[in-house]
Amino acid sequence: MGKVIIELQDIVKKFDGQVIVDHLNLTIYENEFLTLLGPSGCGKTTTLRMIAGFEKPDEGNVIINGKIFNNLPAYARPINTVFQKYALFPHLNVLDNVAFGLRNRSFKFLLSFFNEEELKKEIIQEKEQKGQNNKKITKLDLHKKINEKIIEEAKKSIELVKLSGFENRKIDQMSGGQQQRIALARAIVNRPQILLLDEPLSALDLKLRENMQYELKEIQRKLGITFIFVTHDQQEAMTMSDRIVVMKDGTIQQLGTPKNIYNEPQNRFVATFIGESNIIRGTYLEKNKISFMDAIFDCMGYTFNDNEPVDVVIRPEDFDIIPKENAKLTGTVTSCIFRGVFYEICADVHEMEFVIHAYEEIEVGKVIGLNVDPYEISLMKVNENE
Amino acid sequence: MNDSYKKLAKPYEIWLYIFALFPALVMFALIFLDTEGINLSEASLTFGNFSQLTESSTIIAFVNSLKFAFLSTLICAILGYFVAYRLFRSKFKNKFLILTILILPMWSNILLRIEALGNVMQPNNIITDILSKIGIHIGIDIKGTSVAVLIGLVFTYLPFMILPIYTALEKIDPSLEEASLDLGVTHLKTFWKVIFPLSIKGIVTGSIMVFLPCLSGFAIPEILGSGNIVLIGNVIDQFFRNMNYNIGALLALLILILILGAIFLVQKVDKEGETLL
Amino acid sequence: MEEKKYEVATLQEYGYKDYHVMQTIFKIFGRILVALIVFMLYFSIFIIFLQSINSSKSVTSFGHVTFKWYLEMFSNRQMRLAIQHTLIISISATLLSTVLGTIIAVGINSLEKKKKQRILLLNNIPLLNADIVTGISLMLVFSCLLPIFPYLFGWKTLLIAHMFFTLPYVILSVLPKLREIDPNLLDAALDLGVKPRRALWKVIVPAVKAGIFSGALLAFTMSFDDFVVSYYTTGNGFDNLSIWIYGSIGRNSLTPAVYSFSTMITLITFLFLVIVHLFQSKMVKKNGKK
Repeated sequence: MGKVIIELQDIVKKFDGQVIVDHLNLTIYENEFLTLLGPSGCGKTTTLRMIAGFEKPDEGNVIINGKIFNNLPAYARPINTVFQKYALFPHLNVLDNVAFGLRNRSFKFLLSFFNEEELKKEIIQEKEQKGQNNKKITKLDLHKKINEKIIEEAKKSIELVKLSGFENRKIDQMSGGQQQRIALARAIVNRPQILLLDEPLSALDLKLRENMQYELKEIQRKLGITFIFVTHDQQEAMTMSDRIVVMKDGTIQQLGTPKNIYNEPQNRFVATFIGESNIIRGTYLEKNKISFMDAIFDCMGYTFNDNEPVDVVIRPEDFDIIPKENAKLTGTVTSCIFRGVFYEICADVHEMEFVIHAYEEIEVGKVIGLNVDPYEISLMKVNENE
Repeated sequence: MNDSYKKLAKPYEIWLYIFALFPALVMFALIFLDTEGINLSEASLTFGNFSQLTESSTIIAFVNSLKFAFLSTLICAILGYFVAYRLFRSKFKNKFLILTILILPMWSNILLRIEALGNVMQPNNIITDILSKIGIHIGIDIKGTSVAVLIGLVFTYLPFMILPIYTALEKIDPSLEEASLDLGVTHLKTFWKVIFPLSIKGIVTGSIMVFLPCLSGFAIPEILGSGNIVLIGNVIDQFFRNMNYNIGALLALLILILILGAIFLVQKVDKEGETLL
Repeated sequence: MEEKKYEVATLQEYGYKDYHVMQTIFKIFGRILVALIVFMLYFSIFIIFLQSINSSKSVTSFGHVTFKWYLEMFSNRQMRLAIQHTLIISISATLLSTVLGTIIAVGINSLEKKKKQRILLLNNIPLLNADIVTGISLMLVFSCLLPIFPYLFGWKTLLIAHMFFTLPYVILSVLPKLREIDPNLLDAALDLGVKPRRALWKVIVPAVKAGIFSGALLAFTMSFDDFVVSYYTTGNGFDNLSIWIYGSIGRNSLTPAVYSFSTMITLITFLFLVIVHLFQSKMVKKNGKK
């Protein structure tokens, strides 16, 4: 992992006495693609807004680059945001929208942004080409050069999101997908250290969304900046993220890589929110032995106390259907629905409904045997509150 | 929407033709005639009415009207924008309440309000009388001056400026402001680059709502100006009262042309008419 | 975990000036200015109130506090008539405009874009036209009708005139709400076999209630306060309050009772609004708890 870029320390945020974010701790690293995932109202957007500077935390610290940023307004943060509904300026055209941030910064900032020395070098070169003897660089020269540079940068950024040629279009002449790209270009042209994306793809249709997922990931790789992405769509989170933060009720439920979160959910919420799963109460007998539904199974890689009750998670695609004679688990098929690549089978197993994905159709009413490989069984600590 | 509702608008269209367009034609006809009131029996064709346009009294009244209307609109725009902006920024988000606070004064008769205002613009009035009883002696004497008329115009029509600006401000997507701040632009610059340009249509609508009544009104200048200040409205009123409909119609048509220009301007800036109310 | 000490970031290191103090000053200055302006808007009403409780008939001196003018309000015959006329005209014009305006707005809303824009352009004329031009225009139309209806001028012309300039307010308040209605809602109703006329009352009107209400409020305000248009369109003997006041000011014979009436109206409105507001916030709280 790279350098730490953001630290959220014990953040609490309340609205009207209601706790939205509850003692949240999170460390975010340079160059990573981090996703905040959770159902609506879980506090993910509020967390994002506190990082952006639109909300102040009631308790705790927002630390960016090793400094406390709690009281700094949004404009002074090295962060840019892509808003859910894009928030493009309707009175400006595409180019002016993208150039907006740079155009309205101070002269001093722009001098260092474009590197003063290089600007001067370029000005002198141009003067020589024109055969001007006057080598003195005036402030006006610099202003002119900076304006040129801003347009150049904006055009580059528009090119990066593949919208070259649309520079002079009005915002309301652009489609939703194009507006999305403009919003992205408008944010990255400022070369932020961190880019926040607040459900930016939620308004797009499926095909477009999948394309954009891929492109976003590409752009992140190209620019090498930290992306913090907020979504309620687990599929989206899985495809794009380096790490996922699963949130519920203002707290972090689990933090890890997509694989890690899918294969080893830490509680019922994560197990059911991310993908489908069958959760069964069982007992951890001893090392690598687990019992549930009156049968004993092998498992791998978990340590609990002997005879401790645990929750067993088995993904629908991890069941193998075998003849009932050799099976530890048997069940009666109650429904079988064609889902495209697979059939979704519901089976009644020990008075529990299992969801099983299989590649063959099985008729309703048939008794089937089920098998699970040891590495497909994941175990969670039992939480009585859930 | 259902087609069977379309016919519901038809009678209104006819109503508007009768009461809004037809009289303009009548006025247009009147300016070429010499009649006694609207009585056409002794009418004769004439262009003599137009000579009234070059009379100095007409020109002075017209220039006066434009001057007062411009000044009041400008002052209203500045004060109105300020108030609308503060209301918009306050935590007070109940539009209904804001609306009523602003229109509540209108429930008192306008003439009565102007008359009351005029009373305290004289050196001896009810306020100075009460104050003198507790030993304070102050008083102003501005009734009959342009300042008095201006004050009257501004504080009568200011609500008509505040409301459209407030409506326009309220319609701005709050995430636009956040987007601007997010892009490193300070609050002040965000105001000038985002909020202000997007609220211009409110200012235009408000300006027209203030400019037009200021231009044509005759009660306020008559009462607060004590007859010293003659605006075009007073002149038109005089002509009609003296049954000289021809010249009255001519001057009224001039104002109507200005107003039609304004209506087209509103239509252009605010196509949906969303800031008009 | 070891506690790490962090520095606090400042605006200056990110190239911005701290204009915190300026902002605060601006805010305070702003509040004072807004308070002053609102004070000025209500100043004349305050003066009217003072004059209404003044025992002296003169507006230049204050005798003692009295409520006798509030009683005289009912005994001054001319004034009572003027008030009656004003109320009759305002209330009936508001009612008619609100009902008709809503129906017309539904009609306009269902028109094609071009036709809609043309009607709205015409609809802006009464709204933006100078009062004096509106007044004169209507008077001319009525005068043209005189040969057919000799006794037209009076309450009939006044009512038509008031409807003429209040209708646009209702229409413009209702239209935006109509646009917000989900078109499927009406289709669904018609699909279920509801007749268009019934759907208008059962589906559309409830959905645009807020617009109708604010339209009616504006219409009443405009009608109640109107002077110039009424002045030109009424006939002999049918003076409303404005015209009567204008005449009294001209004759220098304004009775303080009229100040009492005005103050009373302001207070009633104020009370009414407070009640509405309290009722509203109660409703909001109730809904919030659900």
